[in-house]
Amino acid sequence: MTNIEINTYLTFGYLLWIIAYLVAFVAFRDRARSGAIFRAALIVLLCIHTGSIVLRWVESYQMGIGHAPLSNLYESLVFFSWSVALALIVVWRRFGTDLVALLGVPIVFLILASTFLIDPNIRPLIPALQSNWLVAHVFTCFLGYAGFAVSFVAALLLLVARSSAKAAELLPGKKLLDEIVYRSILIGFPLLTLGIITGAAWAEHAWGTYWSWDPKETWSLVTWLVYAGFLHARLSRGWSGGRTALLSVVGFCAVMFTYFGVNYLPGLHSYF
Amino acid sequence: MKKSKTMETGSSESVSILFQIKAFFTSVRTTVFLLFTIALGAILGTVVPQGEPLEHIAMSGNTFLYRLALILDINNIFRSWWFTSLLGLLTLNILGCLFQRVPSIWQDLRGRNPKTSFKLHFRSSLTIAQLKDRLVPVGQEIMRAAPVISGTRDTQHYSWVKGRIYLIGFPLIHIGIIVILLGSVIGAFWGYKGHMMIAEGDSSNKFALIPSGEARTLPFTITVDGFKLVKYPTGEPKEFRSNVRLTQDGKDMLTGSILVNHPLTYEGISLFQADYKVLGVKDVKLSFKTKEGEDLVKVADPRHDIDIPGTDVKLKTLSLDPGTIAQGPGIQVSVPGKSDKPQLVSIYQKDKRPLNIDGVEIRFLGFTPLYATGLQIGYDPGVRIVWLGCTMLVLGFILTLFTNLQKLSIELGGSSKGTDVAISGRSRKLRKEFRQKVEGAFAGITELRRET
Repeated sequence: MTNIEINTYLTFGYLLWIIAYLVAFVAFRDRARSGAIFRAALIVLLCIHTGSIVLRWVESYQMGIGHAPLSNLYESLVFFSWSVALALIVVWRRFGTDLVALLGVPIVFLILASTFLIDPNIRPLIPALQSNWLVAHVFTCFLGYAGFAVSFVAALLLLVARSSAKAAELLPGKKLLDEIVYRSILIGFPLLTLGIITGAAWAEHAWGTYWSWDPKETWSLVTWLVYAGFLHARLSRGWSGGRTALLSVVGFCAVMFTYFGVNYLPGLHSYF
Repeated sequence: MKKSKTMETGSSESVSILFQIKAFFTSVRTTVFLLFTIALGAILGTVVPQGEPLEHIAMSGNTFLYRLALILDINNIFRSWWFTSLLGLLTLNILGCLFQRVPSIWQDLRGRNPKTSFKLHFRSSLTIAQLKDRLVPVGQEIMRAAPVISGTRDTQHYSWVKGRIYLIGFPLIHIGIIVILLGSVIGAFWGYKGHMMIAEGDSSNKFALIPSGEARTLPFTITVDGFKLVKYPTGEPKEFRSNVRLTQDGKDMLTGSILVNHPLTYEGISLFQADYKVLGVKDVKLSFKTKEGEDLVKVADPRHDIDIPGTDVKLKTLSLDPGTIAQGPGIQVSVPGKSDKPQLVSIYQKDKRPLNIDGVEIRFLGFTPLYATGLQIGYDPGVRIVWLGCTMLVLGFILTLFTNLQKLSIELGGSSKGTDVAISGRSRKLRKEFRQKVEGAFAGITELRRET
């Protein structure tokens, strides 16, 4: 089986997980027990996901054009969904909130499903992409984005909990959600910083300019500024709850725009 | 009297203005405001096309955009007066915050900060000596170190400090950002960028500045010994390589290759592989099958006539034809036709039937193009400073994320009714968890009665 076939099955695996969990959520009272099973299932899916990424790496070497599977839109999407799934499992273990995962796995599914629209084949690397800085850049950026994705999900739950007392009874505690919103960004922000720095190093090596204000770079800076604003507002101004949750949502919108929306603006950065 | 009164209010006003300015630059409220304003400005710079000359906007007839461009440099936001001022204000704001906080960080580093995040009071009927034997091992277990002991005749004080290096993280991150901004300013003022195109075999030291196009001269000469373009079997480019020699005053100083992602740096000036051009044909490869059935392959210079073996006829290459996918590339040659009039013939690489001249079958096998390589020139004395700032930033994050300042102290004081015990702690991160850990560890000691 090739990595592309595995990814196809995997996409439906995640979808099946969501449906099964929704059914269990409605049908069973004992959430703790079903939760443990679903968490194990999610870990299995993540292992398969990891395997598929490793397999793609091996396949590229078998084709004689070996490179880390982090070099084009398809590979970055597969890795992005992997990092979100990983972050969800970590948060689930750390904070014991299945709801964040229940809302987060659909994001994993959507990212993976979106790869159906693009060319999944392993392509040889054109000269500009032959750089270890690029591998480090993609790796750190998407791990950071995964942190922001988890924060976004928790922020949405928090906003819902704040707007309706009825919903709040079903959701994890507001304090806990607020904590997840904040802690995820605390991890994501340094990773994004590292991602921007390694990206700048790549640009410096490839084109002789570490920063050229192209839309993608500029938007990554916008994202960085929003989360920097979040951290300062929270740590020094004492913001929390609704206001920081809103900032987390805004920040994730900036992430998504940096990733997908920038292609509709004039400029270069055409690889991802 | 009246006069002095107005003077008084005047001076207090000026003090309050100074105070307000100081408050502005040392406030995190300002930081948050600046971060979001800079973000909005940057977004504007991705929506409005950048780099368009003012005259073009003036001619486009969009007077509103023209006015904005005239006043706010909306066509060149990232170098505009207001955007750079915002970055300048952010720098001052960061400096202000640093100046305000560094003294207390210094105090903390030297262990002179008495601040605690929680304090638990207990009372016990045991003596100080007995309590010490029970409590200090617990503290030692939490902090994994021996305590610093101080005290007088009636009181004993045991204290632990862990992860003081955490305190360096905050200044390192913020100084790092200032250093990055400083490096970029140095690059903007003293750096330059340029482009030059050199044909294979040629030398040059002239380049054009980007974006003005102004001609400049390098302190050395670049000779391009060769340019190589390697392709994957699929046709995608695999490698662009310029083999160059750098000479100064007639002496070879440096020989090397420039590839995409592998620049060559000499005297602080970096040379990057940017683009290439096909200037012409270096040589053509032809095969000849003579009447005797002999196969000959010839690599020939297209500028000279080519002898057809076994005959006294000469071929003259005229031009290269890129051809189509079905034909492959081809060359146009002239051969002497009937009645001495030269005849023009095109031969393509994938022709099914060879060209036949005097019984010799001629095929076109391929050609080597003559390239010119496009090199980008970059000189940026600020780039090392930028990397230094980035390193500080990353180190600062590592310290902030992976270390933590924790303090614990146990104070034992005797009184007539027994011993007073005060356990205080401080943690810069995970405060609640640290407090719970300390509370849990001491909860097991039954001789302690919690005082509220």
